[in-house]
Amino acid sequence: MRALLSPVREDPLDAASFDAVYRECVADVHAYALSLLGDRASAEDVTALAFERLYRSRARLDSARGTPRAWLFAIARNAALDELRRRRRRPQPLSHDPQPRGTSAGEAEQSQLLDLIARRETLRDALAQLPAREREIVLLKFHGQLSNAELARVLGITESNAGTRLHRALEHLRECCEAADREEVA
Amino acid sequence: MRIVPLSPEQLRVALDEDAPGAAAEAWRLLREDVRALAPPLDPEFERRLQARLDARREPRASRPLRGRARHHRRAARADRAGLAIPPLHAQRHVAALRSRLPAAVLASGVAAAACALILALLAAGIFSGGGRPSRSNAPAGLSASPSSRAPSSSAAAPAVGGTATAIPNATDEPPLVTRHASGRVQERSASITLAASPPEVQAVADGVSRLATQQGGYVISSQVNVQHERGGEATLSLSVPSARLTQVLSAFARLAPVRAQSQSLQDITDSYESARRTLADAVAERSALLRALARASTQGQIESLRRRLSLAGGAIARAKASLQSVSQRAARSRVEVSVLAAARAGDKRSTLARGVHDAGHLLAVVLVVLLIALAVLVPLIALIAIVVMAARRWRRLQREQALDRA
Repeated sequence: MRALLSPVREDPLDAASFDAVYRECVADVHAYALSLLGDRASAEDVTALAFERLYRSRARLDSARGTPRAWLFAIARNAALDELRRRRRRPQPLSHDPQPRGTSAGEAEQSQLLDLIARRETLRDALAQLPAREREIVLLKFHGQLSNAELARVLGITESNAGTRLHRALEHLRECCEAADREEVA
Repeated sequence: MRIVPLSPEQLRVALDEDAPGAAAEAWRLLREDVRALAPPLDPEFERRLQARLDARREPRASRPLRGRARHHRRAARADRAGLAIPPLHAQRHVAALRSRLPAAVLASGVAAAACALILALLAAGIFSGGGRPSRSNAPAGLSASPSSRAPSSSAAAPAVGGTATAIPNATDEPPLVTRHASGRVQERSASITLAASPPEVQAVADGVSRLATQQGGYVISSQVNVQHERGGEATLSLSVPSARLTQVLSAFARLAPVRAQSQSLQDITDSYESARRTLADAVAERSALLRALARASTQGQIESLRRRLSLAGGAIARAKASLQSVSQRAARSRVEVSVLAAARAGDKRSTLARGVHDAGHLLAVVLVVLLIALAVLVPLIALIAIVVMAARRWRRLQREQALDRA
């Protein structure tokens, strides 16, 4: 993963590197697109489009402009926003089963599993409450695993501005989660 | 686990640099929870996407190898030919740069450059053709006779040389008439234009006079105008023996580069023969009158014959003058010599110096063309850049608005 995040300007993205980027990022790009667009078909289209565009533009990869992963998420973001612009409709809420990945009832205590499910439900609701811009930066940060500098490039803002906006969005997310917890306790 | 508020920098360190501590761990757990919220990738979609990318990649997979092989073949050919080609990474860099430019912008730029170049060439042609007379006009003007030339700056300029007129010695006998090989009597004249550097105009004019005298000719009139720093002009009217006209012109050509030369010829055989017959008739009449006077016996006849002899003597004198005039026209040629400063008619420099001068002139023209092209291109490129930037900005704005609406 670190290797993928390092600059790769010396050589354009060759087949092996592209495969590695694909394996590492495909799930995250899909998750990001799905979270932003809210429908699986569009998310798949955006994911495919992002990888195809990355492959076409691999000769233009520039270390000064970010890692392949950041480049890929910038492409995915533009494609997703274009899709949103075309549809001109609100994203659909996620309708998948929030069953935690990588866990099973046999491996953890039943109560812990229930807590995890409840926590993620709360988090999903909190995410849904966030304004679109804040939700987007949280998704970019967590799904894209981008640094603040890369976030800034993807969003077209300064690094400090990106840090501030991310901090504000995460604080907002945290407050939403705490408010939901308080309501549950009450 | 409770999520503790952190400052922006602490948050960045916690998420990006895996900082230790419970607070940082809580934020990383939140990140994992957000990532876990996303549904897993559909295996069918993943398979289709992989196949799609493989299909797109297949024809391109071996391209770098082909490129390298082609590069090596080209390098080998270039080595054999003693040439150098840029290394592969430089070519790739150029290709990457090229691919960064949108095709439309590139095409617009090329079209704009072509238009600008055409405009610049047209403008340069207009400026060079309309601003001043072309050099090809100069010899025609220079070879014109002095009488037809309009008075120029010579009237205003201080005349150094002044005007001189020499009259040939009149002789009783008609001069030797030079007949052409065909037996015809011809009147010849010539004009020649010499180019000299501004300081040499006076010297060349003096040389022309000296050569004419040496060849048996003389200066009918001369006018030398020397203008400091602006060159000058000399005009000489000469009379030289027709038999030596060719040598005289050759000698003049050795004094300074010839910018223009012309010769004219007129057949005056009829005039010459007519004058000669008139003189012969007058002489014959006088002889007859003298013989008649010898035979005269009365005072009246004698007086009458003497009056007629007197008239005959006048007729002979007029006929001789007429014949002499015609003979002079045939025996001597009039030569008009113009000496012009280099600034107007070229200079006497070597071929190398003229070549350097022409190269400088050509460079100046090229620079003017480039300058005009630049003057057209720069605003055009700026306009295209503004349009492209505005389009990008607009698209970005549209995307952000779509996000706000979502």
